[in-house]
Amino acid sequence: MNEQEVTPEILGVLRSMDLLKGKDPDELTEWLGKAPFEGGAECALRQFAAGERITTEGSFGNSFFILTRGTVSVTLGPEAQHLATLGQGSFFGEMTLISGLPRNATVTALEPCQIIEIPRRAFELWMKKPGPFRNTMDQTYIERGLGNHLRTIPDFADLDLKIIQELVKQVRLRIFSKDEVIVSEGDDADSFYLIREGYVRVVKAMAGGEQRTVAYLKDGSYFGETALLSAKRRNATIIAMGKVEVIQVMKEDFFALVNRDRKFADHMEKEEQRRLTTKPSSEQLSSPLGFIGEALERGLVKATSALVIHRDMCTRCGNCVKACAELHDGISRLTRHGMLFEAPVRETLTVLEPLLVTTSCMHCLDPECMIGCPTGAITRDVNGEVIIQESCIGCGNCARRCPYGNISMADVRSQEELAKQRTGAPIIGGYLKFWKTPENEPMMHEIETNNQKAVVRRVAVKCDLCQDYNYNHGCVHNCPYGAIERMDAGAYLHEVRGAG
Amino acid sequence: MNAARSVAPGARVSTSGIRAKRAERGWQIFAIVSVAALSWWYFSAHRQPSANRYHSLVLSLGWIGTSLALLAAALSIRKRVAYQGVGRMSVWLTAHIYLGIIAAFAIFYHSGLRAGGPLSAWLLAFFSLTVVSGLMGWWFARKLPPLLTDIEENPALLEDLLAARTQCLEGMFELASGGSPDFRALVEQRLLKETASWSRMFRFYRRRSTLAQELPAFQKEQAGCLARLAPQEHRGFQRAAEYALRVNKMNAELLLQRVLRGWLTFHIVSTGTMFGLAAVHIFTALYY
Repeated sequence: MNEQEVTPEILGVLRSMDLLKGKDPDELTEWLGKAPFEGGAECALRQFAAGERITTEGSFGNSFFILTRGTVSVTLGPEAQHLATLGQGSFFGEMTLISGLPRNATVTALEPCQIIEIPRRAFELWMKKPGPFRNTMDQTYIERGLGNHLRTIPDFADLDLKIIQELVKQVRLRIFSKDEVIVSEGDDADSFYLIREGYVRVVKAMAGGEQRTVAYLKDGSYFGETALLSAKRRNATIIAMGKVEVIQVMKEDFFALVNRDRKFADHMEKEEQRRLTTKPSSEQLSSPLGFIGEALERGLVKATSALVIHRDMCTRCGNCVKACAELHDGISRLTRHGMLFEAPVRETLTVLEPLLVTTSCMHCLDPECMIGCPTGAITRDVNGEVIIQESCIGCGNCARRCPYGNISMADVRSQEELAKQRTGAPIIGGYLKFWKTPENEPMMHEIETNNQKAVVRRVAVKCDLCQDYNYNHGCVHNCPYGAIERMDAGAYLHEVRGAG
Repeated sequence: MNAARSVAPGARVSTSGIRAKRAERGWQIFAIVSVAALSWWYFSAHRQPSANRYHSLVLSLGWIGTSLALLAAALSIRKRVAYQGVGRMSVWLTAHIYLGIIAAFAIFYHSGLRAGGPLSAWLLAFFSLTVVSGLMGWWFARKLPPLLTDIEENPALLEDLLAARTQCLEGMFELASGGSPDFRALVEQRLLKETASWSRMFRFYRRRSTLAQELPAFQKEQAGCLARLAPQEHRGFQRAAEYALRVNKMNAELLLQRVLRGWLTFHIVSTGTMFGLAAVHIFTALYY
C-alpha cells in the first residue's frame, strides 16, 4: 500500500479496533505503507464485489485480512452453514497463520468490500510484540477456533449455540509438544479434554509395570470424561505425539454443561459405558498397533505429500536422484534414506508392501519449519506446498526446526555470484545496498573446488515439488518403473483405517 | 481372481506384479492384438503363395519392424532429454517394451524365420540378442528388487554401497592392525575369504535373510577361532567377523545391483550393432 491509500477513513477504522488500540497514525501508516520485511510481500488494499469469495475453506493462505468497508459472511462446510457476519473493523484469516492449518471457513463479500490484506511476515512481526494486537489475536484464536471446532465434533454438534458460546469463554486452549504428558494415569481428574489438532497416544500400565500403547486418538476425539463421570482417578496416560492442541474443560464447567443439556449428558454416559465395557484386544495391546500405529508414531500422518518409494519395484537405478540434481543446480534434494514401512497396498489393502518414505519434505499440515524464519522466506503456496523463496539468507533456522531432518543447507552458486567471480568485484547494485542490516544479507563465503576459489551462497534447500517446471516432481516423472510417488499420507491412512 | 487377494490379510508379498499389471494392461492388449494381426497376415500369405504378394508382405513387415524398433529406441533419446517434461519415463519404458515385442514378431516374420546370407544371419543374431537381453532386463526388474528389499537394511544405491563396503573393510583391517599376529592372520586368512564367499552370498538370496538374522550363526561358526586368541581380543574378533559378514552381504547386494544395471550394457551394445547391420541390410536390399 502506498501512503496515499492509507486514507483518514482507513486509519479511523483501524484505530477504532481493539486490535490496534493505542497505535498512532504514523506507526500504522508505516506498517501498512511499506514492506517492513524481506521477500517482497507487502500490505495491499483490495476491493471485492458482492458475492466474491475472499478466502476458501480448506485452502492454505499466507494472509490476514482487516475489513475496512462493507460486510462479509463466514460459512462452514459444503452446505455453507452460516457462522457469522462480519462488518467494518472486523478481521479474519488469522487462524491459518497461527496454526499453519488450512483455512477453516469460507469468507464471502455480502456487499462491495474494501479489505486490507496483510502478509504473514507483517502479521508475525506484530505478533512478536506484546500488546493489544497479540492479546486480541490469542483470544480470538481461542474463541473462533474452539467455537468452530466444537461444531465439527459429532457429539457436540447438537449443543445449543448459546451453550457453545458460553463454554468457549470458560475453556482453555493448551498446546503440548511431542512426547509431553497431557494427563497421567492415577492422577486426580480435574478436567475433560477435546483434541483440537494432532494425535495423542493412550498408554496404560500393564501387570509388571510395562507401559503399553493401547490406542491412538486424533483431532475430534476427547478423553477424560470417564474419570470425571465415575469420580475415579485417571485410568490411562495420554501423551502428545507431535504438536497437539487440546481444549481443556474444567471439572465444574463440564458438569455445568452436562447438567444443562440432557441429551449431551445421556450421550456422555453411554460413551462412558462403552469405554468401560470395551476391553482392548490382545492384538491391540501389542504395541505398535500395526502400520497405523507405526505411521502415527513416526509422524508420517502429518505428511500431505510424502515421497514414497515402492521398494519392490525400485531397481535402484538412481534416476530419481539424478533427475532431482539435474533440476536443482546439481544439488539433489532427494536422498534415498528415510523411514521404512510395511504398509498395506493401496489397491487391495489386504497385503503389505515395503515402502521407503524418503528424507524429503513432507509438506506437513502444520510445518514447524515455518516458525521463526527471519525473512519469511519459507512459506506455503495456496496448494499447501511448503516452499523456500529466494529471500532465504541461509540462517539454518528451518533446518533445525524440521522434526524429520528434511531441510539441509547447501552452497548455491547463482549466476550473479558467478558473474562477481569473473569480474572480481561485486556488481554495482551490491555497492548500493550498503544500508542493509548485515544479518539480512545472504551468507556469502568462499569454497575451494578443484583448486579454484568460488564465492557461494548458503541457503536452505528442500524438496520444492519442482515448482519451477511445467510438470511436477522430477523424481516421479523420471522413474522408469513407476516406483516412486507422492502420497497424501493422511488420506492414505484414512483409507487404511476405513478398510480395517 | 487377483492372486494377491488370496494371500492372508497382513501377509507380505511382492506387489510389483500387481502394479505393473494394472499400468500395462492397455499396452498388453495393444501388443496382443498387433501380434495376432501380424501373425494372421503372415501365415495367411504363406498359405496362398504368390511371389508378388509374398515379396510385398516381407517388405512391409521389414519396414513395420524397423519403424517400431526405431520408435522403441526413442527411449534412449528420452533418457537424454530426461528433464524437459516430455512424458513420464515409466510410460516411455512400457511403450519401449511392447513396441519392441511387436517389432520382434514383425522382424522374425520378415526374416521368414531363416538365417539367410551372412549379413542377414548376423543381423538376426544381434536382433535376437537385443530381444533376449531386453526380456532378461524386464525379468530382472521384476524379480530382483523384491530379493534386494529382503536382504538389504537400507535401499542404498550402488555408489553408496561401494563406499559403505570400503568403510567396513577399513574397519576390519583397522581392528586387525591393532591386534596380535594371530588376530591378523585370522582376519586375513579366514574373514577376508568370508567377505567374498559365494556360498554365503547365495545363502542370503536363498533364505532372503538380513544381516541381523545371519549374524548369530556366523559368529557361532567363527567361535572356534577364539581359542587361538587372548580373551581381551575376543570382542574385537567378533566385531571383525561382523564386518566380514556385512561386507559379504553388501557383495550380495552389489551383485544384484550390478545385474540390474549390467544387462543394459549387453542390450545397448547389441541394439547399436543391430541398427548398424540393419542400415547395411536396408542399403543392400534397396540398391542391389
